[in-house]
Amino acid sequence: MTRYLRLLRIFTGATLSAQLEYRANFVGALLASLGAVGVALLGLGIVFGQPGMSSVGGWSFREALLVTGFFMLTEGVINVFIEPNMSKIADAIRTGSMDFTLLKPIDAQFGVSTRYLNVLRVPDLLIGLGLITSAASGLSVTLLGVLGAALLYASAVVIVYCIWLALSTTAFWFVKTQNVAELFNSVFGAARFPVSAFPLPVRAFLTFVVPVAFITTVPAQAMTGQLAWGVALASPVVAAALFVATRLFWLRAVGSYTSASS
Amino acid sequence: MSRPGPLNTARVLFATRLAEMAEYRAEVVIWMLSGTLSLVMMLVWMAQAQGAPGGQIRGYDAAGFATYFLSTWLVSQLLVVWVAWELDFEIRQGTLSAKLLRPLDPMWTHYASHVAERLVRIVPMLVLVTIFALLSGARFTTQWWAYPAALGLAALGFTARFLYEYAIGLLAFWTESSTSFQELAWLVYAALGGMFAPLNFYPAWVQSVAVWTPFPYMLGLPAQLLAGKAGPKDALRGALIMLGWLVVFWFLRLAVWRAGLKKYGAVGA
Amino acid sequence: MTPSPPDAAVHVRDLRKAYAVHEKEPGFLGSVRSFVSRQTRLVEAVRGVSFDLHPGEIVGFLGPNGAGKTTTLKMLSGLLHPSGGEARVAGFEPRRREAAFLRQITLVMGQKQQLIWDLPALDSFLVNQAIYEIPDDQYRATMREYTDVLGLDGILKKQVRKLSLGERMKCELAAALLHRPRVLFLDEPTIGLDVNMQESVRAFVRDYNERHGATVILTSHYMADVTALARRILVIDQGALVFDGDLGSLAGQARAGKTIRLQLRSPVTAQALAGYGQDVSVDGLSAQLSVPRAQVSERAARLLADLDVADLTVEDPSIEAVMADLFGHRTPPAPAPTTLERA
Repeated sequence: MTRYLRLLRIFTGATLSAQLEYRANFVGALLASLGAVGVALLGLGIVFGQPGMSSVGGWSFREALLVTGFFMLTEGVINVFIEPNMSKIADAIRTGSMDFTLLKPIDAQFGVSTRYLNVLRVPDLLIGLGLITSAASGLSVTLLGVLGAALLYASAVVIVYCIWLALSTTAFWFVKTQNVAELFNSVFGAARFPVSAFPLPVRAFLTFVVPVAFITTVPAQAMTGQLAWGVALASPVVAAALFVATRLFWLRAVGSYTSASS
Repeated sequence: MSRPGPLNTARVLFATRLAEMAEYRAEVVIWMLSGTLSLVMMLVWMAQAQGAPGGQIRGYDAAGFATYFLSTWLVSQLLVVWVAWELDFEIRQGTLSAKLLRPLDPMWTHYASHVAERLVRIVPMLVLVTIFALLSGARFTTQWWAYPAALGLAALGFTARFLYEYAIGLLAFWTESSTSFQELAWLVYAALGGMFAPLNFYPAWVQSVAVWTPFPYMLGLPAQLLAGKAGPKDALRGALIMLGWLVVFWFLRLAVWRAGLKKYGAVGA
Repeated sequence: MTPSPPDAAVHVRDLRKAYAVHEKEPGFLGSVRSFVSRQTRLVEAVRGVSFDLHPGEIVGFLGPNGAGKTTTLKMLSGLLHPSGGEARVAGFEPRRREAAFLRQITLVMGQKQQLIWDLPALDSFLVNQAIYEIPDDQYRATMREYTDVLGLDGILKKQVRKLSLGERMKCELAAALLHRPRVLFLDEPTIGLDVNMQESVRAFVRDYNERHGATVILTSHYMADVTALARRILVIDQGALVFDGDLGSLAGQARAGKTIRLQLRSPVTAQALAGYGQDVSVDGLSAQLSVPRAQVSERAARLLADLDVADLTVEDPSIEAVMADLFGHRTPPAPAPTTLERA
């Protein structure tokens, strides 16, 4: 375990050094972060900007802003921790460098999941936390609510990681999968709004088929104390089940891996 | 012995790129599905309209929103441009060099690719629009002239967008973050084009700024034509404005290209 | 400015190129420091090179890594703008990149691909035909010729991504020469290819030169490329031309002998081999030593007779070795910094 922690530290150091080389990218990344928060806020702003419109799907402006905050936080988690690693899996398989990863005496899933870090997108995390804080400051939030939200958000991160890993792992069979991330993003875009803002069939899809509801709506509900106990329990269960399933899927993929010939 | 002319060059470029795009048909479908902002906003507005008194917001009922946003989605599919990413890659990897050795501006190859991709996109796109329309209850206009008019505006809009995105992509000659500028440009395009809501839902000052930009005419206007909410006069006026913007973007791209080549020649790949 | 001789295919006078290079100290702290303030220095990659090439000449352009070969080729093909001096190629000033100029030249750079990855190579050829506006009959004749010489039969209709490295290089060459350029810049055209492929690339270049009277500048790491094709050699080092003459006089100046590689059936010591040549090295059952050119066959015969040899090969010294020998070089010399400035 300590060995893995040390590896994390070494990986982080190396990737930080590499990124400091490109200081102009900081400006670019900041623009991208502002762009992302811009889309989320514009969508919300125009809906609430209509005369007589005081709620979306039964959520007040501040409550909906809380959801947007969790959305931005998740964008940050994806951009900083998940995407930089997952996007390289397909490449590694195509070029055959996955061979080296599999030869290393550490767990390969750990290796491919923790090797890189995109610090340039840390502003996403800060913007997300900022939005959550400012939205919560106008709501009655209890300490229990915050703790519950933190726990449920941890399950949410596990869910997001599992979906990404599962999509990226398909690259072991289909070499051209650089675009699978797009598929996730296309559905994840709906997480900018609370699920109840959508028509009923779509709501069911976002809860049971692609568990987007657990990523932003559920933690926000926990924070405002509107969460049913059943849902609160469902989130970690879904996360644990997904984690085990993805792990098995990964092992199966590695087992059937034949390295690229050229 | 007659030399083949530029028309022949255009034909071969287009045919080759069409063959290449046909190789990417699976990816093309994934790219189509990735532009879901219109669809997300559609669902939110439909639910809002159903909950609103009278079932309407500013004259739009649920079906009205469905029609508007599906039209925006359709038009935005025709306006997709990724040339900034490719330029960023080519300039940074130095593969631009090989293209500079040919006696043809590399822009035309990219343009041919983009147009060819549209042809590959059109069939799955129509299938998806039909499915979405059946599910959401959208009703498109029955006036036949609105369809060629919307297509013409989309063609102008696509070319204008291609040119300004090309200019943004060329910024890679100077900065490593040209693709971030591209994302910001997309945000302005999506907002002022009317992807979040019809333009008259926006605050008055935003509307008055928007009319001085090309975005409402390339995205919102053709969508309103398809929804039956704009007339032939609007279409004509929009086309003239877009032509003006085309000229502006043409020279903008040319100026950035010339400056970029000077820089590339000084520093190299 | 001196007027270029009307008959020169390539005319270069006092050509120069200087770059600003960004430098960083190793390690995390170095990264942080360079993030805050950037150190750059001006490097002169090419410093005053002059030469003239006659039409139809094949010239080997040699020098250690970083000597300025590629920079010079890029200036001659118009990709880089010289920071000083004069260059004329086929009567044109390269940096203006006129279409008429681009139709006269080609630049082949190792693996830099101009073929469309996901389509058969034939499609890329059609694109080039269209871009260079090559008339149909000329296109057909050229394709016949290249298919013959390069052996393109059966690979033109395969997707480029499914071609082997050698097949891809053949197609790359054919695509780059489809418009029958009069001046060829070949930068490491055989790098990474096996011996057979290297030979067919050489045969192709020789054949093209004879048929079309084209001027060729060739850089390569393989001595065999240069000896097979070029009579005249230009050697560039630290950005300056240090040798311009025929191959014979270059080889004559070289003290470096040939290298004999041995694969043995039973181990020997380095001392046991010392009597047969210099620079002996032994690694398990393989060994190598260098012998003077004139005595290669005699030494090889003795080795075969005296030792239990499984295999014996004789190799030319690498260009790096000849270069080191001729000019007394330590490996890649860093160009001296001329100014230090802060960006």
